[in-house]
Amino acid sequence: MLEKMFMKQKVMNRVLYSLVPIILYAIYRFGWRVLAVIAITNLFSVFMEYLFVHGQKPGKISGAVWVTGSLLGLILPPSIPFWMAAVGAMIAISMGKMVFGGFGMNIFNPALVGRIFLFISFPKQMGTQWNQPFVGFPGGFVNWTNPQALTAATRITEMSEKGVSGLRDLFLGSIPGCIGEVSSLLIIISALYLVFTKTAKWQPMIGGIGSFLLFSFMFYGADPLYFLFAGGVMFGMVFMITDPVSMPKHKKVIWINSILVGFLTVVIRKFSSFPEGFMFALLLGNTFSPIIEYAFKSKSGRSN
Amino acid sequence: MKEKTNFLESRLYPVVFMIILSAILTLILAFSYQLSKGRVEMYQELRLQTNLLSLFKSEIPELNDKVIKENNPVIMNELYNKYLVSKILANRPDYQYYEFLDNGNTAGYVFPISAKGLWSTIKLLVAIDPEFNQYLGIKIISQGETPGLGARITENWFQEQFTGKVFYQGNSFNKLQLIEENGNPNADQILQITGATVSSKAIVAGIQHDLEILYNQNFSNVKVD
Amino acid sequence: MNKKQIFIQSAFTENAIWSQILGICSALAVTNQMKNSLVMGLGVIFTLALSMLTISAIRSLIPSRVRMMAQTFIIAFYVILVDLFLKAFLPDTSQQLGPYVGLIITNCIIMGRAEAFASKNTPLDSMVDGIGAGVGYTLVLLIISFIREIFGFGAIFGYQVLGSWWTRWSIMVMAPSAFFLLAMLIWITEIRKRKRG
Repeated sequence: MLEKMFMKQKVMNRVLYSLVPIILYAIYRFGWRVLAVIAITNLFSVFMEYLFVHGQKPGKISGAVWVTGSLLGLILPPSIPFWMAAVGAMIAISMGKMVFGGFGMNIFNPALVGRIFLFISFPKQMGTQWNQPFVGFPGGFVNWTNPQALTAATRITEMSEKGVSGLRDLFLGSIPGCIGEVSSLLIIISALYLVFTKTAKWQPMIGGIGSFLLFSFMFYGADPLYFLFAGGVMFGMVFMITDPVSMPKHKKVIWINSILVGFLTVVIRKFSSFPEGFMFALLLGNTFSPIIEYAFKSKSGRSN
Repeated sequence: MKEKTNFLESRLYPVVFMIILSAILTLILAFSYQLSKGRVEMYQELRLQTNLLSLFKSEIPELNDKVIKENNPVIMNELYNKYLVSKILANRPDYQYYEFLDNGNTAGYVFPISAKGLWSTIKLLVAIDPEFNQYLGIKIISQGETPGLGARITENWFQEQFTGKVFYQGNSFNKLQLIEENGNPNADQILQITGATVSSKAIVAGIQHDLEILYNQNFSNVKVD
Repeated sequence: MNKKQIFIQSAFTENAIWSQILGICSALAVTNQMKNSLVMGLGVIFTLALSMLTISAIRSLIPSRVRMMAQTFIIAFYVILVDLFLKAFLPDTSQQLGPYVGLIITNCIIMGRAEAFASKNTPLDSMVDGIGAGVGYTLVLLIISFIREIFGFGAIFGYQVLGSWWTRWSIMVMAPSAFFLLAMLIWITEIRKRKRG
């Protein structure tokens, strides 16, 4: 039954494995509600893709839909209303993926399309309400959600207004934030797993993070590690920019594109009123990578 | 008949045709413009007058929410003539501002000010007392900020915060600060709109910047020692 | 073709927006509220009907070398009339529509109909064709603004129909939403067209 409905995609399975520790950690920090959010985004992603592919040939749902669903769930705030998560998942799959022709054809990262839709539609729920994380043991494992919601202060706005909180907290993830984005340590471990199993390329990660660090230092003059560990940059640089479908194919273009994304993230954070720049930066990068790639192709074609 | 066909095909004909066409159409337009001019100007004036008057809602006994909502041009015009008078700055003949009169005495000034928001130029009116000590109120006239976020600057609670805030105290300008929307503001603080820091800041900064220039250049003698 | 056929053809089967992809810019701009869409639509219908009538009536007099100029001139004339009317009698709507009334002049639908139909047909047929195209345009505007207003404000024609429990989708108030709603509408009509044959 499952074999009939879903395409087999080992690569996608490995991405899912790498997300397991992050999800467990999120439950520990924010309670079981986050698992419900992730379940909903997955369920509605699959449902949406089913609506598009059923009755068509080959009519199978791609395994990538689970990755999109899980990634989308992980970049939402823990307090997101369930129906919004469902709307986000359906938009991600329909507008971000299926309208371009389904799996393998999308030029934008579907999970980010879903998030950007939610972010623009519901700025209050998406950007101003953050749950305080649980501390100590068993923490969130015995709770549904932390009732103490902290409003208005995202880490980045907090940082720009009140100075930084400890680097250690940021690194380990005992900070409020999106479900899967808080612990940079776990994200790095997942990144290593993905790179060593050849699931994801290391070039875009290094290019993106390197350029982000460089430009944050140039624009802010402060320790750029704070900016890296806060917000969604780390998560995006590991799981989003490496998306094999929307990523450029040419090696040089991968480098150019990831450096561009790092630069744009800093520029958007610094000069716009949006505290989180990665989401916009990567979608802009997605937009321009085909034309950069085209330029490289025609150039190498002529010289040969 | 043959000659006419020739003329229709001649090089001159398109020119003649366009001249005649433009003469007719422009004539009709000029005529309809004259007809509607009065109404158009009346509405523009009415909008300005209503905005100006509503800044002094508490000081004008004849004015209440019902009157503002009905927006009768005759009543508004009467009230405007009774309470407000428009003036021109000596050093900037193109800049019009307004004086609020209470029994013939100057009881406040209103200055049109523009501020640079996130997406748009925000235009607003600022009312201040005749000695430039405190704000009497602000009124946003036009803006194009993000709906649901920055556009909330038009909400009454946000605009009403400025009423009574100090502009000039002792020998210096007083700086207003912005704090989070759910905070407890003191006398010099304005609650900003959550998720719209830029729009909120733009208004506070725009008002202070423009008013300070106006004060320094034109009104520094209003202080009674 | 009789007048009814002309109307149906220009309003539905050859709808300016969904089958000719004309007049998109204004469709994006004014569809955030149904009232604006309706006024804009009426303005376009009025302009289309009268300018098609005029262009067709003097079509044998218009020199072919300057015919585009002459058509634009006539269209601009009616648009300015609409603009003056709105400013004088519906000042609030005029304020909200802003520059878009003036931009009816550059609405490609009008030039399109003038070139494709009015310059070759009788005045009355042209007028029916113009009204048809305008009605088709208005219909699309109303569909999109209905979705945008109900999601973005929870209202229809400014009347609150969804209560305070409704969370407003601010993307629907902003212009980008019209982009994908319009795309979806074209998508749906294309699918239906293909299924039919």
